[in-house]
Amino acid sequence: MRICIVAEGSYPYVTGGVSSWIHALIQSMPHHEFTIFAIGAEEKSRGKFRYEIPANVGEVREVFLDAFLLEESRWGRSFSLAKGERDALKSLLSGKNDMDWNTLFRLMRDNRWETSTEFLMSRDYFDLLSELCREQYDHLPFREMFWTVRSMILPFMQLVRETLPEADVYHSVSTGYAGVIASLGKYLYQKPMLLTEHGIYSREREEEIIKADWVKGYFKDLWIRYFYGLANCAYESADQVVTLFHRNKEIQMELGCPASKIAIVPNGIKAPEYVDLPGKKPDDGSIHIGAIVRVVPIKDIKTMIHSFYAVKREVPNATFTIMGPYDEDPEYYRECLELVDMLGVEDLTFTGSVDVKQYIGRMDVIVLTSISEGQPLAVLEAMAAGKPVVATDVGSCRELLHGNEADGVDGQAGLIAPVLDDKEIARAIITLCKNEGKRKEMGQIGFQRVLKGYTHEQFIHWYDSMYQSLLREGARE
Amino acid sequence: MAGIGFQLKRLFDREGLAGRIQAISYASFVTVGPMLSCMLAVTVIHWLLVQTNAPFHPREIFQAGVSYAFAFSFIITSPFAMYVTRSVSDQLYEKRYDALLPSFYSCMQITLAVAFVPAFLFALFTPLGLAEKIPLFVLYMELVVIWMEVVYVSAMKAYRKVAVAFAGGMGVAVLGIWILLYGSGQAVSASGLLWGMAGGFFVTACLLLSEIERFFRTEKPAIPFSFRKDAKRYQSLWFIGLFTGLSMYEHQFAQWMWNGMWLEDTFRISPEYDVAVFYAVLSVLPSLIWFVISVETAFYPKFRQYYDSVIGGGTILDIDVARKEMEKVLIGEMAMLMGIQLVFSLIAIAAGIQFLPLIGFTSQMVDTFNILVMAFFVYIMTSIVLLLLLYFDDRKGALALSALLLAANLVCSWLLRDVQYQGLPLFAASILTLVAALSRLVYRMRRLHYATFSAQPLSASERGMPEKAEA
Repeated sequence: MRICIVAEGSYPYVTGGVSSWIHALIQSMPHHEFTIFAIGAEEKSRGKFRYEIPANVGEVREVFLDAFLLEESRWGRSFSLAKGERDALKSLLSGKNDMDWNTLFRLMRDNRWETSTEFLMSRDYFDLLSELCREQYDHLPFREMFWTVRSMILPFMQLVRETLPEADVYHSVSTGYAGVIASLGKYLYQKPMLLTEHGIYSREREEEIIKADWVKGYFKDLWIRYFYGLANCAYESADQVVTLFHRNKEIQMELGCPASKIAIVPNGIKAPEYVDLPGKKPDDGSIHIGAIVRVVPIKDIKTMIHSFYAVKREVPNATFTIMGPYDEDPEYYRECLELVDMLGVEDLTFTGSVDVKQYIGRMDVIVLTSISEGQPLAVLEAMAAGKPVVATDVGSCRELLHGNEADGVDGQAGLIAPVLDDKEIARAIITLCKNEGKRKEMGQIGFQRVLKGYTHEQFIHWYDSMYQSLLREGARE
Repeated sequence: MAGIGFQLKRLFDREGLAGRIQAISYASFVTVGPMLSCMLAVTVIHWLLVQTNAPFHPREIFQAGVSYAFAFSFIITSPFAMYVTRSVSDQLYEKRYDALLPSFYSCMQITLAVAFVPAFLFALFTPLGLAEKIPLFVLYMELVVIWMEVVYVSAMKAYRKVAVAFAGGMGVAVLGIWILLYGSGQAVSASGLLWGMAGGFFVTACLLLSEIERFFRTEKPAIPFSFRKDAKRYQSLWFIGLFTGLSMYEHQFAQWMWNGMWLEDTFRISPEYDVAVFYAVLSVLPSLIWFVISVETAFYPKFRQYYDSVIGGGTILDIDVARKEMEKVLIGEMAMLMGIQLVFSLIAIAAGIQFLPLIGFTSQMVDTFNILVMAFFVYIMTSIVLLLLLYFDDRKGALALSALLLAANLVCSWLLRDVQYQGLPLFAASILTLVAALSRLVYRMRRLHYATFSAQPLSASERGMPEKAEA
């Protein structure tokens, strides 16, 4: 069967959680044929894959949000829009929830205009926007409103106008633009759609927008509502929504996804690969702390460094190894190095991209200081390797370390600390450094929990049967 | 527009009739001053020739030569002038002061090169003597230079300098010819007269050039003007200029062709029609003056307000209000302008019937004059509406309308070519175009938001609000 995976800003352009998840999923299902619909930000990324594309991938369809720059613009046209079309577009512009997505898809893909820009420069669009502003945004500077909305709609329209490969199942790995594309696939070919949400896309966008300098105060709300609107498209169209842990399910329900659609399917890890890894040498008197992490701001490496600085004062024989690529955000990496230098922290190493398995066995404690996470693979890896974890209270970290009713393993596999709190994080690390018994115990609990609830096989089995059942249902319809 | 605008406002703000009169005189001086100087000079020279009993032949050659030089220099420069006006105003707006002088000299070179072609052909194929051909050629080329200079000096709002340059030049021409006439008396030649005129315009051209050098000479010599890039961007302006320039003289050419005669096998003329045109044109001077006053004191502030609210973060409601106010003022001012001009046109007709026979008008000529007064009334309104469309950057509309104006003139001139319809073709063509132009203006005003916003290119790098076309 053919499965079209729709990925936005991840596979195959960046390494990390969602991308490696997709890669593992595809590799583990050689009996299915996959198509990747990859949505990137900039045209210049075209063809720059960070993964070796598996043999069962038939096609990687690349589209970029900045493609409009290549279009010729022509203004002055006028198209007569039906009332339903006007309403649908207006709902999109104002971020309403009661959208008629199918009408909107039909409208956006219409042949009346050759390019998206032609439509966005038409009288109908302008009149609609002015009308909306008179009704709802009569306090906002109109010129900025005009440019803001145009830059909001343009990538959306460009994407929706793309030709979509035909497949038996459309599987989006986030809401947002990817969710819209998968919904479009369902609409065009009447095929089932599956949505797997690792983090909560709209929440992540919201956080980003709140912090962003490029959006002026009064337009933040508009952008945020727009992304919630996009998320709704996916929630509405999906036949099945998958989330990784309980807390995210609650958020999805709050955002309007019907509970009946949501299944919790945690990530899985190939646990046997983490057994009997090269360990610490007998004469090694140091305490090894490690982090399996990309050096990027969202992982909050700076807090990690501050914590280790505190740890080092209490545990002089501690070392810290940051295992992961640092070329994604060179500026941030440089700042981290400066911080290390400034604090005079010793025994801290950035390894760059490495085979984690060669290192993790030697570690005594694994740390994760992320500001935002879904279900971090790093924690699962640590648990599979039987290592205790200190993690911030984000995503499913608490659920992974403290357990839930479903996994059937009692006890803690590590310690949870507040986000951005280097003192608490340091305290947790020190506690583990000073108590070998606790480290061993927590490592064991983690290992058991992975075997019970987070294996690769369980995860693949679930998706395989879900694909099959969707195909059957899709065929029945 | 600041220069003349502030000046006029200050004058209009003054109490009493004296202030008003002063304001209107000032506006008259700067707007129609140059045109009046030329017409006055030609009239005075004509009167001098009659007074001194100068022979008929040189008088005729002089009259025809001067009007040919005017007509053809104007037509050949109007496409260039139209879009140089825009590109200079862009350069000023973008503060690219270093580019102005190089742009002036390159435009001048190109225009002169183009203008040379018809002049050369004329010189080659007409039997006129070399003695007359040379000053006529010089006069024509000088006028080409002057029309382009006027664009640049006007861009600096130095309208007074333009008026002074023309008054000075024409003064010199009249003085020169006066001396010539009293020196040579009956033996005066056409070439002498033409040289006198050329001498006067030489002074005008030099005065204007010195102003341009004074305004635009900057410290560092700039990169040459990218003529071709701008030419492509404002291609439509080039055609608008060409069409309007041709339309202005088409009715006269048609008369020359259908009802004219040959002078020296060189100039095709239609003396009775040409004289009627000469006087009828004077009747629209009030419109030219009042248009400037009304644009500067009433319309432009509202126009500015609209674009300020667009650029300066106005909400949709602010922009709506600004547009409506501007529309109200524009319609009010247009109505007022038409009313004022109508009164003056009627006065001109009455005065024409009364007085023109005294200077030798036949009744057929008076009839032609009357219809021409009404034709110029409609024609000037059409031109003003075209200009307003360019204020709103409606190049497409202006292009279509200027093409319509030319086409209508051609068709009407053909249909109404009989001598009894003299003057009617211009009237018929202009009124047709005026109706279309007014409809377009109203349409553009109503859809101004859309045109202002949606004509913008999509990519941020090219983004920027439209810069209004300067009149």
